[in-house]
Amino acid sequence: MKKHYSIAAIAAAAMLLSACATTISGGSNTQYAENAIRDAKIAGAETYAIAEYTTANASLARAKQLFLHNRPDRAQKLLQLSIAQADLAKAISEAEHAEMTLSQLQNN
Amino acid sequence: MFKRQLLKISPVLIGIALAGCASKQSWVPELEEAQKTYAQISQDPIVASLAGEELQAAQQQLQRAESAAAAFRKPQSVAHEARLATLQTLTAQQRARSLTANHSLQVSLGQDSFLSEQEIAAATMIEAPLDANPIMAAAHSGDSIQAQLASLSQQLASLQAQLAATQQPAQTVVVPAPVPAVQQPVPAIQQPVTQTVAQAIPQATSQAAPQQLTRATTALAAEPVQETTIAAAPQQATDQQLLQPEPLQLTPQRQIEPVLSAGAQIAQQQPVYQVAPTAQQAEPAIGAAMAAPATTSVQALPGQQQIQHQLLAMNAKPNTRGMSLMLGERYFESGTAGLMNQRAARHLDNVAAVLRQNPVLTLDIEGHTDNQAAPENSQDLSVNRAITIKSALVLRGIDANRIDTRGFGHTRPIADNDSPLGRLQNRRVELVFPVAQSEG
Repeated sequence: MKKHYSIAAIAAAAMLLSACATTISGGSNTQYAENAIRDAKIAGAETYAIAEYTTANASLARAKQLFLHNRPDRAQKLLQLSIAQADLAKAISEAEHAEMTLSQLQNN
Repeated sequence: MFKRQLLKISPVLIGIALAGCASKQSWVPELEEAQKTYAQISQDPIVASLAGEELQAAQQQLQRAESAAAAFRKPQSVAHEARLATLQTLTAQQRARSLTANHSLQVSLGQDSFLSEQEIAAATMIEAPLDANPIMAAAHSGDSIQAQLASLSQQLASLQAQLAATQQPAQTVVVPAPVPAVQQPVPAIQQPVTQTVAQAIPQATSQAAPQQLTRATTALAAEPVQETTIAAAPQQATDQQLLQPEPLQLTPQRQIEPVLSAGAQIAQQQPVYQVAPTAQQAEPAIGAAMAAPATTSVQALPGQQQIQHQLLAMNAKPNTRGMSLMLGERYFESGTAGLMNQRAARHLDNVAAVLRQNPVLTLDIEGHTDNQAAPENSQDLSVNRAITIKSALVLRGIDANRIDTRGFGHTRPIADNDSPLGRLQNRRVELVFPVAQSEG
């Protein structure tokens, strides 16, 4: 009987640890997405890539909600999308900014 | 009875189910879009060379999406993977666009580009032959930032001179009388590069029309630094300039100086014309064109300097051994001495053209590798690559005796062999033209 209890305790501990690991992974990805969105904002995404920037923010917000509603799989996918959209917004912003500066330089 | 019917129907049902599963893959429009986007963007050499890592990541993501579709995973999953692939592909495209714009920006500002020459070269392959317009080709080939800057500066100076010549209000040159000096031959200006000068002056002198001479000089001054352009100018153009009854225009001295500044002192010592005060700036140029004893800047042009300009137009770089033209590894099949003919043809055609035009010019071809392979293999590869280039030039009609080949293996690196980029730079073939550096 005691043996069964110990096995159950080990299993419970393992499940708890795995749950924590999932949470940490989700939190890490959330943090990663937030960083990507911040980088995009710094690059001027609010000006140059507003659509991509808005979508990235919306995906992140929705992912956070899904984490709260215990739907981590869907949330993870949305985080991936959010990161990709933020990266795209950043790249567009950098390209637009550089081209605009170049254009101004050439016109002057 | 029922069993029999079921047995008959079951293959049909299985067939329908399989067809449904098979078609399910093509029913994910996101995957199709991702494939199209990737296929389109990955063909762009600029994206492929400047955003290679991003493009590779996008390719891997696309493969994941295709694998998901092949494994009959849920359409939502496939669509998700495909969407990620599309976004990554677009990011690669934008990244390349950003790098290109920033590179242009830095070149415009006269700063060193953050891109390596290999990246620029890979991203700016052009198909047009260099011979057509060496200056423009140098500006666009991207093999050397310095060469680009030099050629752009030349173009800018030329355009400024032309602009100044067209905007300058008409000014009259006061010429008191024909001067005997005009009728004297001008033996000093007979070099090929200054053919326009040599052609212009006899015509003007034969007609005893100093004003026309002034006009010819002015026309020359409008093309200040580009000796190659001057050399290429047809004589008809000069004739037309001489015959046109346009008002005289004088270019300010600062634009004339680059070409004929060396003649200024002589012109001041032997003033041939008295020029109106408003046009006095042009006096040195007139004097130089008229008296024109041998001056260093003009005299040095035809031989060494002309070769130098031709080589510079091909993005060769001066060094202690002469002028060196670098052929990167991208001109060879990976790990072999096989030449990628399409890529190398443009360079080799132009090298052959320069060697043909200058029969005394010799060439040393030096092969180099990185330190990744065994020394003996590196040595063999470097020698073989040098010989390949020599063979390609001999096939283009160059005497083999004029070309010397050597292989140095990995013994002469120009960059750090610890980094992939450094190793890429070290894997090269150098074409060294033993051309003495001119002082100008």
